[in-house]
Amino acid sequence: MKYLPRIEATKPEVFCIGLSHQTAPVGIRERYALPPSPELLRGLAGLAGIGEVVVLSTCNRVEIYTSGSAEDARVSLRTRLAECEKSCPEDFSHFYEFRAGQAISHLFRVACGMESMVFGETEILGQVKTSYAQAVSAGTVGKILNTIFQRAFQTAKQVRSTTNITRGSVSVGSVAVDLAERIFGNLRSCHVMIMGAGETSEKTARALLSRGARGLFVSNRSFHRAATLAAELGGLAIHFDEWLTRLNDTDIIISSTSAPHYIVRRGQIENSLFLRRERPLFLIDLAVPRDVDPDVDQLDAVFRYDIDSLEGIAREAMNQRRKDIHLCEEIIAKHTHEVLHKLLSHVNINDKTHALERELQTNLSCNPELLGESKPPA
Amino acid sequence: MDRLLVTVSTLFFLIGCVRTWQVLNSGGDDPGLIDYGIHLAGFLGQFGFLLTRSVRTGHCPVTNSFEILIFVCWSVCLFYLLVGATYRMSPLGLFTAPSLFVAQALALWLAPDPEPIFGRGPTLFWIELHAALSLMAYGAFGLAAVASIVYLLQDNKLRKHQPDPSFFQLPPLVGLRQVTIRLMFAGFVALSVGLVAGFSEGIPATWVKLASGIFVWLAYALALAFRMWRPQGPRRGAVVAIVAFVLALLSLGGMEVVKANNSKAVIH
Repeated sequence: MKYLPRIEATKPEVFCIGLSHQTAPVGIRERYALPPSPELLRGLAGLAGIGEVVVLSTCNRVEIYTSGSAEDARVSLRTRLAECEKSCPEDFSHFYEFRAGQAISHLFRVACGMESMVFGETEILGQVKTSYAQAVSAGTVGKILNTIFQRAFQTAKQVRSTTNITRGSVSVGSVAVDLAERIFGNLRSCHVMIMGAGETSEKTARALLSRGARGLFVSNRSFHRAATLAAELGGLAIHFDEWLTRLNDTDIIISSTSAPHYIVRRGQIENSLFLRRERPLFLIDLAVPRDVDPDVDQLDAVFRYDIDSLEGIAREAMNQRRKDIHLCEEIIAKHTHEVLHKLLSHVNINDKTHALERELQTNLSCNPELLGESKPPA
Repeated sequence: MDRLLVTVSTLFFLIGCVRTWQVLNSGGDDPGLIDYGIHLAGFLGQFGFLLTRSVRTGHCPVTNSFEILIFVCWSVCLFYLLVGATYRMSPLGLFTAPSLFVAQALALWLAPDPEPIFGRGPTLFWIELHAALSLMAYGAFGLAAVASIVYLLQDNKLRKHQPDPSFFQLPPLVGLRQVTIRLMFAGFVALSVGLVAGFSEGIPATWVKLASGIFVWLAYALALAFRMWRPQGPRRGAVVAIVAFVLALLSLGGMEVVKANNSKAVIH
């Protein structure tokens, strides 16, 4: 028999309990990682005070959103969470709880990537959508959570399209990939060479391969290490002194050796230019001290980026994202206010003790800008 | 009345200029369909003018400086619409729109455009074909020059190690280089056929026309030959494409000046 949410039977108060990378280390988060199976969702929905439920469980956060009676839901959920394996009472100091407008606003911030480890990342929106879809298919979503989650998706879409918080790359690997795409367009015809099998160069190579780069050479002083990495990434290991012979077949070189001097010199690249026939060469120098002679910058169709320049671009992108925080907050406040109004219109307005109405009044008195009254600049 | 169509088309390119300013300053919406739509609207205005003029005069509409400028602009726009759709180069529109706006505004403001007279002189097929193909070649060369300007901008931003948001919205370097070469090649073929068509009618050309035609043809033949067999680097290739187009425009302007002077001499 299909589970029917008990929306009408309970007061439509929204409640959220959870913990995230901001409040708890991974050792605690993993204890409460709840795979949102239909059985779990229906089990939670059967607890006292809970009419509807959605569980958002990612590597960085576990959150449970409910509608019903907030106080009863709080007690039921804390009891249920205490039943998790390896749970201990001290863990509850890491949990946060939100009600009504705060819970809605929190969900909107999560969906927009504002609570993510990498500020503005977009993967979280997909995870919120998946969690919502799982709850819908388990039949634990009704009118209230449906309204709130649909509005969360709208809010995230608006924030993405009207602000810069998702723009630009904020890690060295993704900056390198973006630059490669601006040089070569499609990476499907590109061959990558790793010189020195370091961790960052491996990550960067993986990122390039995931965007379609079709070939990989791995060159390392220890051939064994090169062979291992090449096997792992589906590339070809070559001896360290052979890299120059493969230069004409290579479009992108990622270098991170521990050599105390330049490995890639201007003369070596210059000699290969005629044979390359105007094909660009992108040199990603992640080594300190640098592996690539900065003089190669003078050569046509050769582009060199060292670790400082890549990190500089990533930092600038993050600054750009953070500049738009206040715009995101405004959008979220507007949507939260509208959702609260919409939910309020669904409940009995004569019930003056209703928590949602109280919350709305509190929100309005604390945030006069929600009513269009301008706030003096801080 | 037909000039009104050019005015409307110019206004569309003005809207394109505003878009360019927005995108390059703030890295706004991704260029694409909007720019393509603006160019399509501008193109229809140009086409409407050229068609009306052609019907009114009974000739290919390249009988005066105004018509020649609009024909070249139409040709640039046509190649943009083809290249933008085929090679995902619609962001080039951020640069073609301002160029077309300036060219058409100058044409409307300055270029002489006497009242067209139907059937003035006989219609000579090969000469008409020569004129149309040669000016279409200028359109291809013009767009190649625009693509080369974008190439140099992108190259410069990459070398400064501080790419701004607009950098990530403009086409990749490899694509720009390929498009430049293809457009130069297409223009070269059109110009070659146009020159042969011009000789086919058997009417002797003035020495200015002959010299400038051969000069432009040779300039592009050399530029392409070097690019194919002795590549000097894409940056230098881009500069050559821009310089060659400037020279081609100067030779076209020179021809028009000489033609105007000759007409005045005949009248006196």
